[in-house]
Amino acid sequence: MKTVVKLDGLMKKYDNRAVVDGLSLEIREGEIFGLLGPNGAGKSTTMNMICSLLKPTAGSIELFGHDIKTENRKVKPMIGYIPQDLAIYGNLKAWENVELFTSLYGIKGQKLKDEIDRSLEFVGLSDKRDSFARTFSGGMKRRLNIACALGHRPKLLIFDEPTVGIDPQSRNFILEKIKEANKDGTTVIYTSHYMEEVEAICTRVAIMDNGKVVAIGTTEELKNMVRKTPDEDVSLEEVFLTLTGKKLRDYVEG
Amino acid sequence: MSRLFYIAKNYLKLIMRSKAMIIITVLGTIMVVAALSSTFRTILNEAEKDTDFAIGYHMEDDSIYSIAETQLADGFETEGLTVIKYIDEDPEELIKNGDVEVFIDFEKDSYSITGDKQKQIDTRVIQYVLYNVDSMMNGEFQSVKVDPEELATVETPTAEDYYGIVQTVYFISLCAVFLTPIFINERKGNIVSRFKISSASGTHSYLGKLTSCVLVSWIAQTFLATGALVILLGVHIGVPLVSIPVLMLATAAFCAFGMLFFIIFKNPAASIGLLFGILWFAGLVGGTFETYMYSSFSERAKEMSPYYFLNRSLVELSTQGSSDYILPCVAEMTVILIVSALLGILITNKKKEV
Repeated sequence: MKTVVKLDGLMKKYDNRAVVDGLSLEIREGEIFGLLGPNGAGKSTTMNMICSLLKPTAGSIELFGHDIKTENRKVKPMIGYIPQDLAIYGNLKAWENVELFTSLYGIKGQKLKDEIDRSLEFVGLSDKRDSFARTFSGGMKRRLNIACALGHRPKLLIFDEPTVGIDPQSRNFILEKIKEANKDGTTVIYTSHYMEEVEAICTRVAIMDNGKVVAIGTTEELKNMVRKTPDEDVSLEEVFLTLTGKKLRDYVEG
Repeated sequence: MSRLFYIAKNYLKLIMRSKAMIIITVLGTIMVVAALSSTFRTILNEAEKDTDFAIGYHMEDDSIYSIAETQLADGFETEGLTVIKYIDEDPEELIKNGDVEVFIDFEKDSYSITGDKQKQIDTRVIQYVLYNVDSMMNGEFQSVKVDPEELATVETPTAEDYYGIVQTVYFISLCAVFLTPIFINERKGNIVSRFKISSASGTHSYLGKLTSCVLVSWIAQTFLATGALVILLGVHIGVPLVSIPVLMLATAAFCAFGMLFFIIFKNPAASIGLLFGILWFAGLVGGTFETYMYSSFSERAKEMSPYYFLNRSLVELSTQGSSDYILPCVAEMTVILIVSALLGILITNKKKEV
């Protein structure tokens, strides 16, 4: 399988404090890759660097074999980013939001119309296409937030805690749709604090702490790291707490 | 181009859906200009009276005007002007020394007026008085070289001529306020990051905002509010074929200038507050509140205000039908538009990290 994301010695420092500290990992095509870690572990900083929102202090990032520093224009259309904070205009209708964000990739005319229909259909908002986003429930806004990242058919989808603050039905719907997108060949990077979500959908998981990967593998491989006996029933949350500790993490951004 | 089209189209929708803001801005402009024009009418009249305006004249012995010399002097004094008779002094020298503002040389059967270029409108006051004296003499001076019809059209600026147009300009200059719904929406969520990771550049985002703001401002302020002021208050627009393009260019320039504040400060309330403060001061210097004819500010200070050439061009277009200030005004507005846009694009693109 091809390597979609390759991080090599990635580092981000703020005032000589390393938030991401020499991170190296590879994400392969067709994976749903979970990125876990306590607050301040460096997950969001890593994702922001992958998305070109932050400049690394050192190290390199390759997406689909292209260095994002030198071939940024080639890489951008391949990424779909679903930020944790909603990134939609409340005073635009659902279809207008998708139109605006899809058009940023140079898609126009009939193709743009088709992509708007497809994206809204995918997240189950076709019948609400003419409603203003501000009138949507939390779950609907989250779904529209996802639709806005799908119109340009990205090969890599990056979800930053997409299910925060929504009801179980909406959460289940979103997780199903992530799996559906993955089946269609899209590689996914997924972060969440909900361990059961990660366990349910991720093919491989990396646990980060203090800017470094402390463990990486399938959920079973991670569980095996902390199992005392082969038959011991261990949850991913227990793995997480064992590897990162139970101490509270008070974290100040930047 | 397609990116810009879709961005501008959707931004335009965002602005147009803030109906309350547009209605308040248009109606506010009409009401405030009406109120201020009325208030400032008194101030303008007072300023005219209080101005120490000296006229020098020389009368040839055989001038046909000599028999009306007393009436002429009375006419000027009625207008509150000081009249001084000179025998053979050089008019240019007298004006240069500040002894008089205007010099009238009555020759055998005609007269010529020399005035300080900066006092152009006041010179027109003299012409107006002379015309009235001509009329008073019941056409006795048929051989006078000054065309009475031309003089008849010359008027001193009224409050509607002056404050009507300069305050319309002032409210047009605040039109960056239309950007508020876009920036408020973008501030609420993580929309900016979505733009940053997309294939669109900061230039697309900037031009999308500027285009939509300029279009709404043209519709709401340049045409709707100004049109209503012309119809309802009799504000004189001057020569529409010249004044309207000048107003449209000024609108675009002020949109770009105002947008800089939104981009730099990110906070719409702080941006509007600071922009209003700066434009209020620039307006004060440039003749928006204190007329440029009777302004206490120096000529250099006035010229530094972005309003001065604009106000002067439009007022003179309204009162005289032409103005020497149109070219500098167009040049100044073009520079403001281009420099603001370049800075805006630079800052927007600089915020894209990689």
